[in-house]
Amino acid sequence: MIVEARSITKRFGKFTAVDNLSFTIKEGSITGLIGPNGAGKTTTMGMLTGLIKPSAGEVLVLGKKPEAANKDIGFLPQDAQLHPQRTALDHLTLYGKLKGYTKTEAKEEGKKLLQLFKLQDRKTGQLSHGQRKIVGIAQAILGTPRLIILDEPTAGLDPGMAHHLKQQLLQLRKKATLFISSHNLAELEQLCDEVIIMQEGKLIVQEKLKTFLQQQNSVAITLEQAAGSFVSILKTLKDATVASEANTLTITFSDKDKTPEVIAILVKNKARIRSVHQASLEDSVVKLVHKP
Amino acid sequence: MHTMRDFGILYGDEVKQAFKSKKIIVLLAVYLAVLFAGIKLGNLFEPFGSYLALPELPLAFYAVVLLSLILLPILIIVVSYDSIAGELATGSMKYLAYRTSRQTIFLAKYAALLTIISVPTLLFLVGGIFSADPIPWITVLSYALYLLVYAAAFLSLAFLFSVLFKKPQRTLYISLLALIILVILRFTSPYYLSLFWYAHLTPVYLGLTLFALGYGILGLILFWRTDIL
Ligand SMILES: Nc1ncnc2c1ncn2[C@@H]1O[C@H](COP(=O)(O)OP(=O)(O)O)[C@@H](O)[C@H]1O
Ligand SMILES: [Mg+2]
Repeated sequence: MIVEARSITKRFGKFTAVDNLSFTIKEGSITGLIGPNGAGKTTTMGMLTGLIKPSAGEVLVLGKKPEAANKDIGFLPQDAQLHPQRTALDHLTLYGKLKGYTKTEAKEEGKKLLQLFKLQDRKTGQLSHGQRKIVGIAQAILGTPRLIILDEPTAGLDPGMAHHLKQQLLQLRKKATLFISSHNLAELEQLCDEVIIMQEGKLIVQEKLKTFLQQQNSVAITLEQAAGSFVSILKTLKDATVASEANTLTITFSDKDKTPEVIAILVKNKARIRSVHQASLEDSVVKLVHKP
Repeated sequence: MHTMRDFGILYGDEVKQAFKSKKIIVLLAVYLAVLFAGIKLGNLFEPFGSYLALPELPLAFYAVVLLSLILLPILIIVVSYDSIAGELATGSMKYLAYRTSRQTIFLAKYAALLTIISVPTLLFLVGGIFSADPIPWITVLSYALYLLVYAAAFLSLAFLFSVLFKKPQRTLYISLLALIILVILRFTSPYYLSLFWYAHLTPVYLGLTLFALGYGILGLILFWRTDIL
């Protein structure tokens, strides 16, 4: 286990932002941290990196206090400005030196990262929001630390860059452990092998992504027509709940999977089925934490 | 340990950035100009020096010491108020603080600012050894040490406020207010009320050193416990 959080709690005054949270991160995994706004994701990451001191409990990174493991951690904070007067390369050079590189090496590594993300070496005050985010990501993966923690890395990136970043992160998984928070669940579904779901400061799920999706026992059926009218038709099914959104029906079985039966009923009622697939991470998370 | 290496890296970076800062360059230039003017004036009044009952040291030398005592606290506050508070407020501290220890960051910033602020004065004092009317090096050394600890005491106070108030503007206003109160107390109160009571300690260095260490360590402990949000 590269990270062990043992009953960590963080209070801000009377408000409990993170509540008795315990979880582990496996070395070599890509673990997604999911939860609605205010769930405590950023606070949790702050405690993993030593920036925020837990009110109770402890965090171990590589068996040590985060402060003692700091040379093995790379971190993209959620809202943190860079020095506007310094260039992208100035930042990367300084942080590279703190990572243990000589000045020349640090510059070289910095330049490689600028090239990798097609960034110009300008003062960060003159870069766009998305470009600054990339500088933040570059400093987090600089020198490939053993544990890379990214707080909403793709928020604010254009789709091309978000895709490029995803490819880079998949490359990194061979050498590093990644812990990523994101609201883009389709993206996390492609990246992660583990998920941690939080709500109101508490852990509600820690599971292998595959297992989690199977446990949901849900199927999403997309039609060529609006799905709403089929909800009542499917009400006759036992041990199943049905929801619809636009052209998609999501059916959750509380017992055995009855997908073939569902399809039979739909076809009999002249539904034109375009696709049938396991409910996505997004479907499952919405159902789990955002239910009305 | 990484600590010494990180300290060196951050110290170098802070000094370099200070010399790129227009604010600091302008302040240092004004400060140097005032010291120069002080020396000229001192030389002008030299013929009347014997009336002032001072030991046998040139007035120009006293001018540098006196002006430094007056100007250093203001200079220190204005140069250092955003050093820590600024980075806490914008969040840029996060990038540093997850990479290296709080002590290293605090001490590197402290040492860098102390260097930048005290080097001009020290150069002037040392210049006294080589002036036309040379001053004994032991005298220069004792005044230099005195001013260094004096600057350190105010820098410690400024850093303490910076960590305590976390926002640069607030730190600036409160530091200036504190300075005004200190000066008023200096001239109006019994010595034990005045935060300048070090002046009554013998030797004077001891009191100043206690101040520098006390405020400094308090600031460091606070910084060490601060959540960087
Ligand atoms: N400095 C703070 N003072 C008070 N409350 C805070 C502070 N930082 C975060 N919170 C609260 O803690 C909760 C968790 O915040 P955060 O960890 O940023 O959530 P997330 O990243 O999951 O959106 C939120 O309700 C937020 O308002
Ligand atoms: Mg957040």
